Amino acid sequence: MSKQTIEAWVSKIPKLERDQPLIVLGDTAYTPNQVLSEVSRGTALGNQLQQKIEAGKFSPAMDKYALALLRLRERLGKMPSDARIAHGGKVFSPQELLKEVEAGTPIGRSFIEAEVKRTEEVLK
Amino acid sequence: MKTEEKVGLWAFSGVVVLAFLSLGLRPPPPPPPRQIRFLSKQLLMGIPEDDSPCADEPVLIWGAAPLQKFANEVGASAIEADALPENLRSAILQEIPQQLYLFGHGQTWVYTSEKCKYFFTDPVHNGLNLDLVKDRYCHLLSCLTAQTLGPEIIKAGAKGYFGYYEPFELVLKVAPGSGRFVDAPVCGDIEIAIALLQGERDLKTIYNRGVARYNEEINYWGKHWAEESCDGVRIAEQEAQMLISVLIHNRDALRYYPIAQ
Repeated sequence: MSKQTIEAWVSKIPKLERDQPLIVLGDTAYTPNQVLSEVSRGTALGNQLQQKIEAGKFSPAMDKYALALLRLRERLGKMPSDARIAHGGKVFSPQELLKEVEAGTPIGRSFIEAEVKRTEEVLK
Repeated sequence: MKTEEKVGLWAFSGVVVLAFLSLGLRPPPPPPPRQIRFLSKQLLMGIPEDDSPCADEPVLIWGAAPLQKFANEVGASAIEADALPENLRSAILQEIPQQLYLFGHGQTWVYTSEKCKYFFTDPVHNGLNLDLVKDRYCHLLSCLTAQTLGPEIIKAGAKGYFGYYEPFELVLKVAPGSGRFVDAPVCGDIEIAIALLQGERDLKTIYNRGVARYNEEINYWGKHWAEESCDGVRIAEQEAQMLISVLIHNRDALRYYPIAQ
């Protein structure tokens, strides 16, 4: 797989996703733009990431859950503090929702599951 | 109201205004907007706004805005701040709509209207107002009712049910806002109402249209989030990401049940 192929792969990913962690390798998750940067520089890491993308075997279920958690942590940590998320009759600030996610409550798990689905759809 | 009737009404209004002007009089001020509009026999919407007795913070007000806009666009009968159970019931009996589109808080066994008052309940909880669903399409934009109440609505003779198996989600800005960001979480749900209004009767097709509309919105925000704002305030990248998460959740919580065989 060439750099052009990775460029084409990144170009198919929605812009909003390109700086979010998406590809798990070992204990680290890389964003599509990080993957492209590594591949462009011809690093060993880039080669490994490239092979993973080429094989299309992205993440086992445990990794998907951890990846979703990581993405939510990043997002909720950076969200404007005046934003609100309503889940049924309950309204959460980003910080309150992060607590639900971290504690693995039913509400937190519901957001993690949606995030797992999102990463699967992006990688389809 | 038919188009010819609307045109006739406009023409009549014009004559009245000219008559007042020719007499040197000012026409009377327009009447204040009514809370209850009866314009269409096909679709009746319940759009309550006050959930103070059951919500820690107001939620309905956020979902109500795009629904009110939709009701205005299609000329649907809509009961808004007066969407109390007795008003909804009498409106359904008076209007005889083919299609009910009701927004409000819900649980597995209950749909609530204005001030969180019970409107539909399952038979274990007295089967409140289930006599009203017979031969109608019943569409509830409400949490969890697909679990128990939805099947009971079908057993009570509805032609079809649309609703949600999980809590419905919204992303909010602190100040009430308008625009695509505010409308997005209910876009797929409104598509169902549009499909029914357009005469589509295959429930699977209608459901697929709802799902496709949610997907369209997910794709839009993935590409165009940076161009969007809400009342002049730019949507943050993380807000757009959270909106996508909410759209996925709502899409996958949507259910439909066809008429009982």
